[in-house]
This record gives sequence, C-alpha cells and structure tokens, in this order.
Amino acid sequence: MDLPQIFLLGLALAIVALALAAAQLFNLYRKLLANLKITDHVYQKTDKIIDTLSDDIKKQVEKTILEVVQNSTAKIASDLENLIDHDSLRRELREMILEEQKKIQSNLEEYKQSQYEEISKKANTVLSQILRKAVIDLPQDMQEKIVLKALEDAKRQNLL
Amino acid sequence: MQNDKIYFDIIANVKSKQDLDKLLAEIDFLEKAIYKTDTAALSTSRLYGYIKDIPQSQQDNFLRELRAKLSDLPTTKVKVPFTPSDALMDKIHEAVGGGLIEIQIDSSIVGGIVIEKNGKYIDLSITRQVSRK
Repeated sequence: MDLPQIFLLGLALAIVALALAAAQLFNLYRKLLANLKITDHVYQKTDKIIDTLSDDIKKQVEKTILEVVQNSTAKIASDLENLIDHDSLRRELREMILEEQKKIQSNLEEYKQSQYEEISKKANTVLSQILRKAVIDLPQDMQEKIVLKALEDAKRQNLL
Repeated sequence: MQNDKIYFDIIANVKSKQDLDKLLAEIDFLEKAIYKTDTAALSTSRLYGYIKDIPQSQQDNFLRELRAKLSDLPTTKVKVPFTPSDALMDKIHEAVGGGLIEIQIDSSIVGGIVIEKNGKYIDLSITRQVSRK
C-alpha cells in the first residue's frame, strides 16, 4: 500500500473512532438525562413522602401529646383523689386511734383505781387485824384510856 | 321544890340500864313496904334513905312521880369491847350529857367506843379512824 492509501485508511479509521466516540458520548448524555429524570422523580416522591410523613408525624406528635396530657391529667386527678382519700383515711385513723387511746387510758385509770381501792381495803384489813391483836392484848385500864381519849377528841370536835 | 332536889339526886345515880332496873325494883319494893311498919326491911333500901323525910302520905305519890321521870330519861346506846369500870361509866355518862346509858359489849370494836344518840351513830373506834385515813 502506498502512503496516501495508508493516510486515507487512517483518516477513515479516525473518523470511525470519532463517530464511535460521539455515539458513546451521546449515549452517556442520554443516560445522564435519564438519570436526572429518575433523580427528579425520586426527589419528588421523596418530598411527597416527607410531606406525608411530616403530617403523620405532626398528627402522631399531636396525638401523643394529647394522650400524654390526658393520661397525665387522669393520673394527677387519680393521685389527687388518692391523696384526698389518704388524708381523710389518715384523719379517721387518727381519730380512731385517739378514741381507742382515750378508752384505754380510761380503762387503765379505772383499773388503777380499783386496784388502789383493793390494796387499800386489804391494807385496812391487815392493819385492823394487827390493831385488834395489839389492843386485845392490852390491859383493861389501857383500853379504858383509849376510850377516854376518844371521848375527849369527840367532845373537842363537837361530835357529842 | 325540895322534892325536885331529891329526884335529881336519885336520877343522877341512874347511869345504866342495870341501875334503872335496880331502882325500879326498889320502887316496887318500897311501894309495897311503905305502908308496913317493918322499918328493918325499909332500912335495907338505899332509896328509902332519900324519901324517909317525906311525909308518909306523900311517899306513894313521890314514887309514882319518880317512876314517870325515869321512863322519860333519854337513852344513849354505847358499844365497847369490854365491861366498863364504874369510873369509865361516869365519864361516858358525863360525855354523852347524862340520861340512861345502855351498854353493849361488842368484841368487834377495836380500841374505842361507838355511841348511838338521838339517831346519830358516832364511831370513835381506832378501826374507824384507820379506814377513814
């Protein structure tokens, strides 16, 4: 082959290569465009989803807040009621305890009094027995002196 | 008037129920004896010593009056745990303001005396004093 043929063949090959490259570029461009469309679509979809999600979230948040407020209010009201109940219960209990305490104290006083009277009675009986023994053993003149002393005391006190 | 003193002297010696019974027995005796001339029998009576100077016609009346006065004597009941001596009887008689003393021996009384006078019950025993304290 001579030189011009080789040059032409080379040129042809270059043209083919350029064409192929152009075709490839075009394809790339088309692909890019397609990708851009998809992206846009995705964006749009995403926006919509986000918008939807945002509404849902808002609603959910509102719902949750409402629920929390309702629950809290109910709990506070319940606690308040319990507190009031506890207070009245405590008051009643205190009154009952005080009442019982009073009863116990009164019973204790009565018991103490009865025990005191019982002891006093027994002490008097013992003392009387001792006195009886002591006085019975005294000679009559001593006993007469006791009678005389009793009469003098009674006279002084205007008992006679 | 003179009779009043005689009544007083006679009654002053009547301190106990026993004294009264003795005197009433003497009055009974004298009421029957004064019209008799048995002076020996009359002289044994202590009471006759008081009335011998009263005219005999008034003696009967005097004895009736004496019996009436004796029945009017106020009585005081006294309880003691032993038989009191005459000296103690005099003291009790004086303390209760005279009258007739009716003695009761009550061994349950410890150290003292219990007097029942004009519806009043006065316990002057040691037992009473102890129980009061």
